[in-house]
Amino acid sequence: MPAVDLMSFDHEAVWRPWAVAYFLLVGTGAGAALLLAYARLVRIAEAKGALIVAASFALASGLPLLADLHQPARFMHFYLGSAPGSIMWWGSWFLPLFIVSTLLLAFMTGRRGNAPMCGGERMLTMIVGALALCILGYTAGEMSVVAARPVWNTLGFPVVLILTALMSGAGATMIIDSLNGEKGEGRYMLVVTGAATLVAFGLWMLTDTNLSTLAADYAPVGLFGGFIIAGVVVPVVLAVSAKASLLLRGVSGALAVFGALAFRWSTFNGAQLMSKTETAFYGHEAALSQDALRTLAGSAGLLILSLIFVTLLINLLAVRASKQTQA
Amino acid sequence: MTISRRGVLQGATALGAAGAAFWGFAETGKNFYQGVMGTAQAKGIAGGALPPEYKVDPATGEVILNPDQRVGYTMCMGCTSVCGIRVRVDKASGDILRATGNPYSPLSTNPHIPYDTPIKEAITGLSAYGEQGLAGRSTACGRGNAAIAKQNSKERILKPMKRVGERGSGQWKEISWDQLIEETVEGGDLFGEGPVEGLRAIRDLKTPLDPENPEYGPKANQLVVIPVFKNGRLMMAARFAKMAYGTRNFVGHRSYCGLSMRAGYAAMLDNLKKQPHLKPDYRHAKYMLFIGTAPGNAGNPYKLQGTLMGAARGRDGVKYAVVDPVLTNSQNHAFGKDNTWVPIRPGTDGALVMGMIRWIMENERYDAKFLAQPSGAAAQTAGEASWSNATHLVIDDPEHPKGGSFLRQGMVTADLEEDAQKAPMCLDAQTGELSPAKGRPATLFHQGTVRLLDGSTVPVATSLSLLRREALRKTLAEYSADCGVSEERIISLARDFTSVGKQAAADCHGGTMHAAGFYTAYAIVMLNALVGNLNAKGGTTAGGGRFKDVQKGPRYNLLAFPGKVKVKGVDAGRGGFAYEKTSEFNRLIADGKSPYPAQAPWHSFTQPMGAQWLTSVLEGYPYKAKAVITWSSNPVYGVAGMENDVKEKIKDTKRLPLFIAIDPFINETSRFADYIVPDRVFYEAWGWASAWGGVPTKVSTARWPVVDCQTGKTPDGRHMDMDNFFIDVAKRMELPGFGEKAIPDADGNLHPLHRSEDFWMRAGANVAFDGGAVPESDDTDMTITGVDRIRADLESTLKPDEWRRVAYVYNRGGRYEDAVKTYKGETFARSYKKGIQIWNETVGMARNSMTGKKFVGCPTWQAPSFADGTKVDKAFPPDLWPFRVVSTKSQLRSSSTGGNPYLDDLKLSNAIAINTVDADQLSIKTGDWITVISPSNRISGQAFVRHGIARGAIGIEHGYGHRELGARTHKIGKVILEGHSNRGLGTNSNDLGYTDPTSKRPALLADPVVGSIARQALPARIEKMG
Amino acid sequence: APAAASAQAKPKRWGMLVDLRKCIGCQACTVACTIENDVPEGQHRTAVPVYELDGPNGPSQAVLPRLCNHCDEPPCIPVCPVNATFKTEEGAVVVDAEQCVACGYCVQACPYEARFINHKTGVADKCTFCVHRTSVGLLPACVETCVGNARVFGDLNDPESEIRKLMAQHETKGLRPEFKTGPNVYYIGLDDRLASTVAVGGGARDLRQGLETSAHGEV
Ligand SMILES: Nc1nc2c(c(=O)[nH]1)N[C@H]1C(S)=C(S)[C@@H](COP(=O)(O)OP(=O)(O)OC[C@H]3O[C@@H](n4cnc5c(=O)[nH]c(N)nc54)[C@H](O)[C@@H]3O)O[C@H]1N2
Ligand SMILES: Nc1nc2c(c(=O)[nH]1)N[C@H]1C(S)=C(S)[C@@H](COP(=O)(O)OP(=O)(O)OC[C@H]3O[C@@H](n4cnc5c(=O)[nH]c(N)nc54)[C@H](O)[C@@H]3O)O[C@H]1N2
Ligand code: SF4
Ligand code: SF4
Ligand code: SF4
Ligand code: SF4
Ligand code: SF4
Ligand SMILES: [Mo]
Repeated sequence: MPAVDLMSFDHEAVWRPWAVAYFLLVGTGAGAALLLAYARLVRIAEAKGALIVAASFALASGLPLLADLHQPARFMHFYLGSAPGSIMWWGSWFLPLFIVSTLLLAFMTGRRGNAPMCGGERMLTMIVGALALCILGYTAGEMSVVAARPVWNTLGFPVVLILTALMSGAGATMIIDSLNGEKGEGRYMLVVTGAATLVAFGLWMLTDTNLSTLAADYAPVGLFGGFIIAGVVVPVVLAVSAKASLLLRGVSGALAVFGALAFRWSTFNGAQLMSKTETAFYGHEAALSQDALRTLAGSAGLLILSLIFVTLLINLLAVRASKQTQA
Repeated sequence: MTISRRGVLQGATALGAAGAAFWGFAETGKNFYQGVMGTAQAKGIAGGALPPEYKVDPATGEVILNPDQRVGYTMCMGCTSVCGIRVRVDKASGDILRATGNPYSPLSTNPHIPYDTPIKEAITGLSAYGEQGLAGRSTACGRGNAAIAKQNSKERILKPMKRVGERGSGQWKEISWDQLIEETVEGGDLFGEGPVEGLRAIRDLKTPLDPENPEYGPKANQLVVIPVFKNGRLMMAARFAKMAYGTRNFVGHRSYCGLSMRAGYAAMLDNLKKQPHLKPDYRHAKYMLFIGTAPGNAGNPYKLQGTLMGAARGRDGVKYAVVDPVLTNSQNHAFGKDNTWVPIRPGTDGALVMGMIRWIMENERYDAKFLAQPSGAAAQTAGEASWSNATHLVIDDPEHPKGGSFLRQGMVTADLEEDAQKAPMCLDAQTGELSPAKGRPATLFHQGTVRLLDGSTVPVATSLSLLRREALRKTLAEYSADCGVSEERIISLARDFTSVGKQAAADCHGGTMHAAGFYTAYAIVMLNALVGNLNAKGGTTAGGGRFKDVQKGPRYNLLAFPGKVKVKGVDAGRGGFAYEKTSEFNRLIADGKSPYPAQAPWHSFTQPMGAQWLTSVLEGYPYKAKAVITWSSNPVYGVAGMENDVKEKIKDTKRLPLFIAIDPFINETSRFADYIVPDRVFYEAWGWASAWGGVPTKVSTARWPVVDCQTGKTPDGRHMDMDNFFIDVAKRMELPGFGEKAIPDADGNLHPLHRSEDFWMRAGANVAFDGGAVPESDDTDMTITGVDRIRADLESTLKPDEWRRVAYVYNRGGRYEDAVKTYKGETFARSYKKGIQIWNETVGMARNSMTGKKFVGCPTWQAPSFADGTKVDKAFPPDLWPFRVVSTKSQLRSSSTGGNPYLDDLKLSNAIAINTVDADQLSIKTGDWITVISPSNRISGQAFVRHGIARGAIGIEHGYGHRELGARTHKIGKVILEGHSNRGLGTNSNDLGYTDPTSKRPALLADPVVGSIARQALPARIEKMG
Repeated sequence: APAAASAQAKPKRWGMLVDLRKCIGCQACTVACTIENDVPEGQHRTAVPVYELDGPNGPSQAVLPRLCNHCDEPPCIPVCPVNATFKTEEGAVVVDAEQCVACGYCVQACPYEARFINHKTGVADKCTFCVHRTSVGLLPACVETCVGNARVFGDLNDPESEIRKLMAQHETKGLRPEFKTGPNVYYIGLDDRLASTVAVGGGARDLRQGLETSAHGEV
């Protein structure tokens, strides 16, 4: 017989939907940055879509992170001391570096116009790639070290978190590319990381009872419907089957981003609903709560602004560059 | 510059995106702004903690006071336990910061510190210095901590209010103090509804209120005053109502609190008038049996019993059992198998206990040596701490005119002195001869006949034989079937209880408030008699009493004054008056009609029945009231069935012309008032309280305003409250005992009574001088405790040799006898002297007013019944009414703490508990909404399915389901007093109560013998809501 | 150095012991802590859940006062990115309210649900062992007002302290031993079923959830 609680006390989830937004944005940015580095350094492609995604998602990620701090004005405290034992502290350095470097890369790319990449830009691309790895590593590490959250504190969680970031990076790139009428570099990566996600998630589910509890009791729709079906299987199938259609590529990309979101939503909120000491009820983070809506609106708005900014930056610089070369 | 379409699109998107981002991040922006511009909400590492009230030097124990705060000792009223508390106040704002226990008070500390401990030393004793504060800790319970929110509550009434529109409509206007006094005293066309008699006109001490029934008393009895319990202020209201105004209708809430228990003990302890009661000696008992009381979960005094239960569970060799349909925190898992919960069918404990008594009799497990002592003298010789009438002979023939009474020497022997005539008879244990109860043991069991002086022969039996006969009336199997407790369990309880000598104790209380209450309680407490534990260490104690306060004391007599009225007449609730003495009875006899049944039950040997007052005066049987005053009482919420019965009638001004309520809040009763008089909450009030029981040493707890009173002021600058209302009414009416020359001192000089302080400070002088004067307080101590705030009043009210001593008592929050005075050897130092009544003559000679049958004078098993003896189970058979509702006190609430934010935070609603098996049969799960239907009403709430409730029982936690105390909106003039619907969540089991169907005139269902209101074992069924 | 001298020189190390046999579940500690520390509505530095468990004689009421364990190896401390939370010399784990950025990372990391972001102060909050009182010679608010005298607070470094003596006389347990956090809150009479994540259901929490959905009767 389970214990019946005659008196019990509620706790609330401490990481609000802002955390989901942040991890989605920065993960997607990092995924795209890796795609960019791979495309430029290995496949010698421009991969402008990936660049736009990397720079704008990175740019947009800062504020939601700040918003999840209840004392945003104190962000300077991160930099006034050192806490090398805290992965979050490392993150506080990686993030601005990543944002600045991707923006710089966008700047350099825009300024060079159609000219070939110089050594400096190649170097910066490598740095961006390396920082993207740091971002992926720190975000996954930060959460998976939390022993008190058994769903996060596994091998499966960081792996899937990273894989979905890559998938989402590829997916977002596919959206931008299709909007720009290009085929771009994302499809292959989406298919590969998507397939890997399925395998990793499957293995995880089989080996971790906490995840099955989460999936069964706390986030069944999000994890199975949203994440696995709509967010991984469908986009991969679309990406594999619809080589030619830009629209379908865009849709596939969008679903991949959604998959990454669904995974984060389910595992972040779901795990926080699972009590540490007793099966607590953490005052619902309902999907349509005011908090969630604000997060969605704020992050989406900010992302669009960033996209416009980065695109304009690259385009205007490119126009100026081409004028200069013409002159 | 040309603007491209793409540019426009981008611009619009950007604008929209910016808008969304702005909305989304607004909160962050605010936080950011506050972070930069505002100061941090908390500094350092202690969060938002309060600055400590003092510091204690870890090396020396020296106390360093915080000059911004003060700590005063007064009395808590978070429930009726009236504990001593220490209240910490912020001097600048005057706000209460926190409250916890008073270390001088035995109700809050185990053991309490010696009374002469200096104030500062007491503080050290509470601190970490030498870890003194661990053993010396003095506590307040959860409610006691939370109650501080009362003082600043937005729901408080601070000015007199008069209703506008219909009674109960929630529309009021504020009126002046003078208007309040004038209108309530003089009456007139007060509401534009026609003339209303004022208090002056009603006070007629000569004219009978009903010439047909002169025994009802004078018209003045038509003022009915329903006051609070003995909260330390009661005697001021009593002085007004009984002694000055002269109504006999003034009594506390006992008839709906624990009258069954009190009457059961009273019958056993031979004092039906005062109704003393016993408490187990938790400190030394080895086996305790709680039947229908839940120490640690409720019980009086709640907190002390909780502390002592905790301590008992920490001792070796302690065992106890709790018989209760509901599993509560009286039982403790960590304590393991030595405390058992015995679920029982509601209302059937009488069967369980008579079964135990049967087994005890059959196996001769009773304390024969104790029982054989027929008098105090005999007990002394035998080394017993108490004695009983077990051996006294009773005339065992109900039809005999003296049936049920003791055989007295005067009945068998002629020409005796008056005293000798009264001596009860028994059989000498050695000689077997019929002889008066004296200093020698007597025969325990005997049934036979005796020849009386008039030559007739009557059957007689010893009290113990009669008890055994009652116990043997049913077999153990039958008892077991009636109560749902297995025979083995009954036997094991009886065996455990009789296995540790006198270190066993049984107690009961609220669980006996049902329609078999009296005999159930009498039976339970009788277990104590069978092991002879009264006054024994580890047994039971009647408590240590109090220092004299208002009664004639060494300095003043606050109960006597020139012109004091002696009240006369019949109680409006028909309590404490034999039906056979009424004119109505005699008329019926004269008319040759059967006088039985009475129109509604009368209870001859009980106390006044306050719980029936509203019902009976609105009905007009025995008579109508012209005015009702309630003070800090809430019968409409607290009495089972009351609201159903009165909620419409009470609005009828013809049935009740004037209704005044005195209360700091609007409750379910005062909502119907014509006037509400503001009153002090307990931190602001004056008075002297004591412990209900459970404290073996003398206790007098002081109430004095440790914070400023918030109510408005009278034109002459006194705070509006109960005291000053009664004083001003009395003065306007020129009643005796008020105004100049009202309070006699020990020398016969008269002192004035114009304000609360005049009365209560003088009572304080009695306390300070009773049994030897306390020392005088110096100025420093008064500053530490805040008594300096009342110093001017003390000085001007009291005599020069008094005031500093009274200050000494206020400094300590009362006067308390030292704990070392508890025991004398193996007995309690303060012992109860009267003999234990195995058979109670008064009970045994009284008649049921509905049937005319005599009651049984000793414990017996009678299932819950209506007044005419019809079994409740017969009228509401279990196949149609399968459940019996019980009410369990909430640990987190008392009836009056509704709307407390700290407590609401812990639990906002109750639920309707039912057993897992019952729930399965009805396909009910926890959280389902269900309706409980009783003979009178239906209530709905969430089901709570648990193992921890007996099959067939419905358990409802009391203190929820309020309709007032902040739950409902009121309008006072233009001001809206906003109600909060979440204050009224949950259910009140009293809504299921009903009137006795066998009574011609409405009477709430009650115990047929003593009339205690039946809030337990109410028949019900359950429907699942769609 | 002689043993006595070194023992004296040893700084205090605070700990708490809860004798579950003595706790009556009155929540005096809960309310006192809330008031003393100005803890906002709906949040608690300490609270006493009550469970109905299977006992040797049928169902049985189990109380479990919970608070921060002031762990020896506190997982909440290393995760803090700004060093806002630390252990005092006396062993209390505390948060510097002016340093904390309220990232909530420590709240996640604590296996005992002892931390929260305080709605009033806006920063991480938790039981401080009433550092503001215990540092000036007073007892914690919850201990002072513990009706059952169940809570015992004292110096674990002092073998003569009440808490040490009780620990020597009774078997004591800490919560969630699997986390190896070295808790400094000890329990007498702790049922193993309550030591880690408690499987609960069908009680107050379910009732609270259902409460919001249905209206109550006439007021
Ligand atoms: N927590 C708390 N404590 C209080 C108070 C409070 O409001 N809250 N109020 C104080 C007051 S005024 C009083 S009078 C005392 C009363 O103190 P108690 O008598 O201890 O408390 P009650 O809850 O009235 O009743 C005791 C138990 O009787 C059980 N019961 C009901 N029906 C039956 C039955 O038929 N048989 C048996 N065996 N048990 C039954 C109930 O489930 C309950 O647990 O408490 C005082 N202490
Ligand atoms: N179903 C059920 N019914 C019960 C019980 C039960 O357990 N179950 N318990 C019964 C028992 S034991 C009792 S004693 C009665 C109690 O019932 P009552 O004696 O009628 O009293 P309460 O409802 O406790 O409180 C009366 C009023 O006092 C006022 N008040 C609150 N604080 C203060 C203050 O500080 N100063 C002043 N002046 N007034 C204040 C409030 O307005 C409150 O409504 O209820 C009984 N009714
Ligand atoms: S038991 Fe009652 S009187 Fe005593 S502290 Fe608790 S609420 Fe106050
Ligand atoms: S209980 Fe939690 S908050 Fe307290 S010290 Fe341990 S890990 Fe930290
Ligand atoms: S919430 Fe405050 S104390 Fe906790 S980890 Fe973040 S900054 Fe540190
Ligand atoms: S020690 Fe202080 S802060 Fe900690 S639970 Fe007790 S009262 Fe609250
Ligand atoms: S104050 Fe003491 S007895 Fe009451 S709930 Fe808290 S720990 Fe238990
Ligand atoms: Mo009561």
